[in-house]
Amino acid sequence: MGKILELENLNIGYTQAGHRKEVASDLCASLMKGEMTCLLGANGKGKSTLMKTICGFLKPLNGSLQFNGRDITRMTEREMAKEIAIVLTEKISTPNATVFELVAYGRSPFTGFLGRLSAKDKQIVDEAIFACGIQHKKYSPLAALSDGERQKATIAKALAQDTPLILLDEPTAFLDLPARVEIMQLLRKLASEKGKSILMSTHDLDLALQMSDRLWLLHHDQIVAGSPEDLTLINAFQSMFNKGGVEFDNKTGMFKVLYNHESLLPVHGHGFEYVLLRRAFARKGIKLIQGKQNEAVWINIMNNSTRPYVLMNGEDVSEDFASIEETVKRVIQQLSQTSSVKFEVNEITSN
Amino acid sequence: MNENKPDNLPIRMSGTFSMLAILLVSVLFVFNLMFGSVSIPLEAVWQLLTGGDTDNVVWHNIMLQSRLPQAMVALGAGMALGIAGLLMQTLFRNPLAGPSVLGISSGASLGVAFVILVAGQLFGISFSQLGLFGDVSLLFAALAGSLGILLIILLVSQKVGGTLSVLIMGVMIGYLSNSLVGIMKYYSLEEDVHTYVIWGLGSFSRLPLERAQLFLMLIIIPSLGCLFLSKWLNLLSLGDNYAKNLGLRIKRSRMIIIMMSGLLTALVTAFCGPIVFIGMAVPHLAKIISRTSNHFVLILNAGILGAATALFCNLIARLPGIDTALPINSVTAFVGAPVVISVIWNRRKEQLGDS
Repeated sequence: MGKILELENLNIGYTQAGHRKEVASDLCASLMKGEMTCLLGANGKGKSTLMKTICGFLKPLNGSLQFNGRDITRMTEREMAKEIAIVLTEKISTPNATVFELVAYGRSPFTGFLGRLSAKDKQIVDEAIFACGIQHKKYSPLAALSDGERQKATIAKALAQDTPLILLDEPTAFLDLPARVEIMQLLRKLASEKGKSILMSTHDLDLALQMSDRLWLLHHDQIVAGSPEDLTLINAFQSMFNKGGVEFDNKTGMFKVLYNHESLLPVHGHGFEYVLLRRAFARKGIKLIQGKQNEAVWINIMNNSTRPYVLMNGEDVSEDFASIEETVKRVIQQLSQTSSVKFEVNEITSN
Repeated sequence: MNENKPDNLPIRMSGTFSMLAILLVSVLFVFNLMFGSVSIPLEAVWQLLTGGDTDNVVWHNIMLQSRLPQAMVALGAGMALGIAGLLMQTLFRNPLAGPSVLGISSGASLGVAFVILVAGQLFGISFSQLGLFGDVSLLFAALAGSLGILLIILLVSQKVGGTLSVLIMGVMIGYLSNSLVGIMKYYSLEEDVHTYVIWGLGSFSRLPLERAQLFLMLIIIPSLGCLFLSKWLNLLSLGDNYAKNLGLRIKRSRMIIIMMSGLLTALVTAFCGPIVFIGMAVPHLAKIISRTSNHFVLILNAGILGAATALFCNLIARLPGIDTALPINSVTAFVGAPVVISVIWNRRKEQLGDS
């Protein structure tokens, strides 16, 4: 497959009052035809700046940006309109506009002076609306749509523009989880079935890992590109996202929150209950450890019981709980009593 | 094409509404000829409009010298202000934008104030006593003032990117020219100030028949020309970035749209004085009856409804039972302000619905 977009030593940023503010420099990457690529990066790393530069809203400060072998900065607005379609985070608030009208505006680069739609234009608009799964909302005003439907209508507009490349700036922001998944599936389908090249910026790492063909990880001075799996193998995410308190887990492809553990609690038992119990206690700063040591307090997990969590105070005193919540509460209560005792002891000795 | 396809439904429905609105304009036009301090029967109006002989010379004179030119001016002024307001609202994507907000009306006032208040004193004569020559210089001053402000706004809109900043500039320039007018007033003769205040109240009744015809022609040509801006306006309504991505040259189209709406406003202000609220309220009425975002339909309806609104206001201003006509701006404010208030009210509800 060929390359549709090539970045070579690209420097991006703003020029304000003759002052150049560089956001990222020496970027090299290429975008493959017919693939879905997700652009990832922490806030402030220049995702939006890069997107704006590619669609021509900002001029590159340095380096080259080639679309199908042509320099993008030399293309006119009309030429660009037939090559790159965009979906932005800004809300479209055209008064009275229906889904059909919005999508039809996507045909503007092809219509005449008054913007009248030909039969072929109408057919393309209908197909775009159908492909995005909103044909039941075709004549609804935009104001009456949910956020997800509105986003699909905007994507349909980009589709009606009939460009080989579609650029989306955080299309899943502000959406609830089902709508996020739907939008990603829709874009996945457009890449696989219609051969569109798609570049989208997103913060949904888990969805990007599962559904995109390639990832671009944007750093200040480079783009690390590759398939999600290859990038996982070279630990690219860990070096990118690891900050205090968060750790990327290569096996699950998810972030793990790290807690500072203040105390330890021994547990007897195993299974899913143990995993969940450990997570619940981690939030409270208590680390569970397997196996009984010589502590006075520990928890037994009885996997087949209706009250599976048994708090042991020595060999003889036991309390059993049906839910993890109750267990955690009771343990914290007990620990706070003992620690307050310790605190008093400390004060006395320091005097 | 199959006409029953629902694609055409909004267009056909708004077409019906447009026909009704045109009918309304005709009825209001005839009413404007019929009613006033003297009521004239429909047959006499019909005789005049069809060019037949007249039975009553007094009625004939009243209509020909007062009511017909007044109705023509109201029709033209309303049309121009409605379209100019729609252009501004789309360009600035702000439902409260209007010709007077951009400072163009203020510019015209500044020009007129200069002629009435300053020039008169410089040459030692009072313009209020100069007759036709005074009228003509007044018109030119208004045109010069509005187009002067317009040029400043054009320059600003090229230097300053955002539409909001241009809007604020317009308001500020409006304040500046108002304060200049205030200074001029302070140092002027009492009778000149009186003349200026009368002009500032606005009126559709200053032009004799021949000049009313000329005015109508001057309005209709650029108004029809605005229909050719409809594709640009459609794209701009999506937002500058989307418009640019769809191949629109933003700066050029924005300049031409400002120019057109400024020209329409300047024409009206020069001939009628500053007319408030029509330019701000009518576009909202047009959006309600149009049910489409297509500016080709919106511009047509804004023109028709603007004419209807101005004729209606003119009719109210001369209601039978009142000896002298009310100042037209008092009436337009009473008709226009509730529309603007209801727009803000509905936006408030939308915002509540969003959260």
